[in-house]
Amino acid sequence: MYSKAIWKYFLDINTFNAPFSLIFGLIFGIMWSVIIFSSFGILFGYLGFQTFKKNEYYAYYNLGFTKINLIKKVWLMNMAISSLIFLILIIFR
Amino acid sequence: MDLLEITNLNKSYGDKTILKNISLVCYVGEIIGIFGRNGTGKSTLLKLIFGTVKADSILLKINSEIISQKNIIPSKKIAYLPQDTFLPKEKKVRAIIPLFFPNGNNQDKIFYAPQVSSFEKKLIGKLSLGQLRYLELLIIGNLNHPFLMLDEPFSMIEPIYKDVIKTLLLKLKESKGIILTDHYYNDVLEITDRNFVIKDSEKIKISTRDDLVKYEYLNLNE
Repeated sequence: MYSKAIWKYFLDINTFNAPFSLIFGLIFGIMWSVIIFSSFGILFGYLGFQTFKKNEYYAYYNLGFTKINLIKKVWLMNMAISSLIFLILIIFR
Repeated sequence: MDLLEITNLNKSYGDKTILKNISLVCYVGEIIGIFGRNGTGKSTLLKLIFGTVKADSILLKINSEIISQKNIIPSKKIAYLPQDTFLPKEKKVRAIIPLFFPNGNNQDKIFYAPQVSSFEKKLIGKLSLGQLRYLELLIIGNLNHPFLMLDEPFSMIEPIYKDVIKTLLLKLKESKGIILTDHYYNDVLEITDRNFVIKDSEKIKISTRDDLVKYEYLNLNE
């Protein structure tokens, strides 16, 4: 239900998160990039959304999603992506 | 018939009391207007009912069932129209509608609503204020929530869309209970069934436009 709306929130959060994680990766190594993407980077993405798209939260509230609800979903999706990349990196190293 | 009951609503910011012991009942099938000068707590009242501002105290019931503030959003019983748009400016209208209505039949209710075909290909950021407000009302009005909180639905919009919005609200009233606040008092009085003014943190029932003068929302010569 509302998968398109959730997908949009996921993309919006990771629009801020992905470059942040990549910069981290360039400085400290690719493994750190993967870890940041599913942890601290989400907080960075949340702050970005809160700063530039704050009022869009009302769209999600009207669909029945709270902020915590949304963040949990993004975190789960990012964890899945990070775990997959982590596995690929371990296998091909 | 669905019934929204709010009792013992209190809200203060520091030493300043914004709303004092407010009670309000809204039935599906009615539109309630809330007036008040800037800073009297009209928008805060709607946000308290929607659960996005924490109340000092509030007892909220829907059909006699108590709902805590934190469960209002997940319950999907109350929808809220904020003063500023909640739609992403970079998206086209036709791309936005499926975000709110995954089902094609429900999407059609928006796509085939009056006026929508004239702006469905536009970016949200390129819509006129009237088109934007109308689209937002169409979206939240077509969700299944039985109650709508509308913060300034008539503010700054062009006259042609005022009439479109009034018609829409009167249609929505058949299946929803609506509480709205706006400074465009003539437009509000035209469609509401009951009206209140907030003055000195309290809610006062008004019956006529003259009451708005009596309770100092309007000047005598306005």
